Amino acid sequence: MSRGSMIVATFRGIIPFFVKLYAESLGAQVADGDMVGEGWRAKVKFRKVRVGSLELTEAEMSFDGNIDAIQEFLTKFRAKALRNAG
Amino acid sequence: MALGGYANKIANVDLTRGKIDYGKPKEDDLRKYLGGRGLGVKYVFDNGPKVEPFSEENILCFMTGPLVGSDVTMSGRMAVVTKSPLTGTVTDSHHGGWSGARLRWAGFDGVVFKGRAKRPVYAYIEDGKVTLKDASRVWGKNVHETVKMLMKDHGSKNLSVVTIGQAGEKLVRFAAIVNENDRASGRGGTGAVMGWMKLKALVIKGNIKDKPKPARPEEFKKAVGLGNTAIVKGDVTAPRKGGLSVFGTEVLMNIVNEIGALPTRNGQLTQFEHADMISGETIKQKILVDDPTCHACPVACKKEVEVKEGKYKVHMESTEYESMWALGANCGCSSKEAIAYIINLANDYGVDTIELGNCISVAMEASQRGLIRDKIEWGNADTMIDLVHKIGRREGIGDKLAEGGWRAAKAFGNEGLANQVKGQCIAAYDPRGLQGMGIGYATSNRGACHLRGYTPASECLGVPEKTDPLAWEGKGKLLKIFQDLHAISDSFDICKFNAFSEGINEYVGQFVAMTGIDTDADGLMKTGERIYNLERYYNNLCGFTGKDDTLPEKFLKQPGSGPAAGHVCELDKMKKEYYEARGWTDGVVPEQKLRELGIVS
Repeated sequence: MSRGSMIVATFRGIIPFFVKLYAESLGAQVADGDMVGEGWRAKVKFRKVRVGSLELTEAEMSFDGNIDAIQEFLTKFRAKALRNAG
Repeated sequence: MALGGYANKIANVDLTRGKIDYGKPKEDDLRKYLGGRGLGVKYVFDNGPKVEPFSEENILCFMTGPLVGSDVTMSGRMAVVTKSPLTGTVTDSHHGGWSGARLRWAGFDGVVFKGRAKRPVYAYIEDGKVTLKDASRVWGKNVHETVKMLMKDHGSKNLSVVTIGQAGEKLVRFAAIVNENDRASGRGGTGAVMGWMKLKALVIKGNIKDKPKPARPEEFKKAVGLGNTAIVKGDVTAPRKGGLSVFGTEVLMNIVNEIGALPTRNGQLTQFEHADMISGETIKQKILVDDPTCHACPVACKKEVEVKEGKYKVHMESTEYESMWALGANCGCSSKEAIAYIINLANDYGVDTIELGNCISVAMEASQRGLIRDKIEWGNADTMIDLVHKIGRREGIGDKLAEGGWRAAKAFGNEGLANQVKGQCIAAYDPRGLQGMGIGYATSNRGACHLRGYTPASECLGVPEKTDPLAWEGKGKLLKIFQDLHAISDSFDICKFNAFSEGINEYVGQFVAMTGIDTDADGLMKTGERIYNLERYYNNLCGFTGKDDTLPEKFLKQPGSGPAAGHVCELDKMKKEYYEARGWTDGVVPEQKLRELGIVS
């Protein structure tokens, strides 16, 4: 059970409503920019980034806590956040 | 109890005998392959690999899926599936508008044609019945006139016409099938198969009152609401706010050019100096007149334009990124007016604009290198227009170009001029500036294609997570996931642009509530993997192996320009990673994998 330094994950194109929805469906508690799961906590910051004429929501999640627990959460979150388009 | 969402009806039309049988799709097939692309591929697979595309043994499947024509956002697609005369692989090509929805409302999960009519016919489809009718009056006509005539005959209310133009009749190997909204099943030459069968059109009457019924109505309503929230609030898709809605797909022109991934002058360069002149931003400012949409779509990515005067005067349904690139940067043409005119002409003849642009750019480079006598200058729009007519009618040099970019390049004495994979040419992304697209093109089961797995979402836009477009590491694994995801959406059959804002989470909710099939994200992704592997297995049985998963030398040895300067596509490294992720042996699906996925028992 290693104690990890900060892990940062960044997602684009996922609006705050869905970040909260996905995180809560995975057992995390989400409120006021904080996410708390079993063995970890994270600050979530949303910002707008521009790519050409597109404006995208970027969610930056800064995790602290048990690395295995964080990775497990992130793996499951990534599966829910999967988008592709074309 | 029947599954929700499906019409539970397939029509099998034997054109040789003029005989029509109706049957039910097997429930096991629906559970394993969903519908749309997946079910169509299963039918092509069951029809056997030793089939010539232009033969009475080939089949042409017009497919809907379990969500088509429903309240699900962007659920108006139709899949056309066959063995391709361009590539010799299985191919599926989709179009939007309302024809997919109307086919479902008319009572069909699919209509499958086989054989060859003695005289030209069209299929009239209404109320669960298919009738073959004489098409001699519209044979020889192009798309727009055919649509007009058949709508006059049958009344335009609740009616779709899905037809070929002269190009399909003349067996142009990249002939498209186009509907009344100029939405086209463009890639792979499905229109040529239709022409060979002497099947001019499908005329479909369907009313939304017959939309599919969900197995779990309340759950479905909630799931659709969640999906719709994603679309209307999504960064890219929000109506009149998101970039796709405001500028259409052409919003990508400047973005892709900026990173040095816009194939220019037949891929001799990877940046176009006049990209902005043909960009979505410029089109919106100068010639945009309307934003037409498709069934259940609030996004309206199509951009109707009008050129009010001059020799390129045209009012046309839609410019879009791939077409503007193929006939623009790729051919060195910077006149948005001329390109709009040419796209409209291509739609009228019924040809795939991507392959068309590649054929013209092959001819331009052949002319530049003195391989042909014809003087075909970069960016000369009038010459391009002349070539479209010649290709559509198979006249003069057009007869060679009508064979597709690869065959034309071979005829000109330099196969390497064609930027193709398995006989189909590339789309608007250069694999030197977007490494993921390189492995995407190479391993696509229908020849070079950007839509099997769209790595630029990650590489250009950072959706859902940013990757470096010039780095190869991780792209093989990423592509595999994206390919499996799109095999699902193509089989539902919903618009790919949906996936800018909705993900597998939202897909599962809507699919389960509609069909009553209990599954989860892993189960659905496994289904996508099964569909992708079935296609690959079919291609393997046709003789395709890992050696066909390759790119032209241009991309592997000649570095790109702009930000891609000094970079070639690192295909071999990505291929190794990709095959490992797939569990394939040198491009071939092993027996163990087929069993694991339930493709063979």
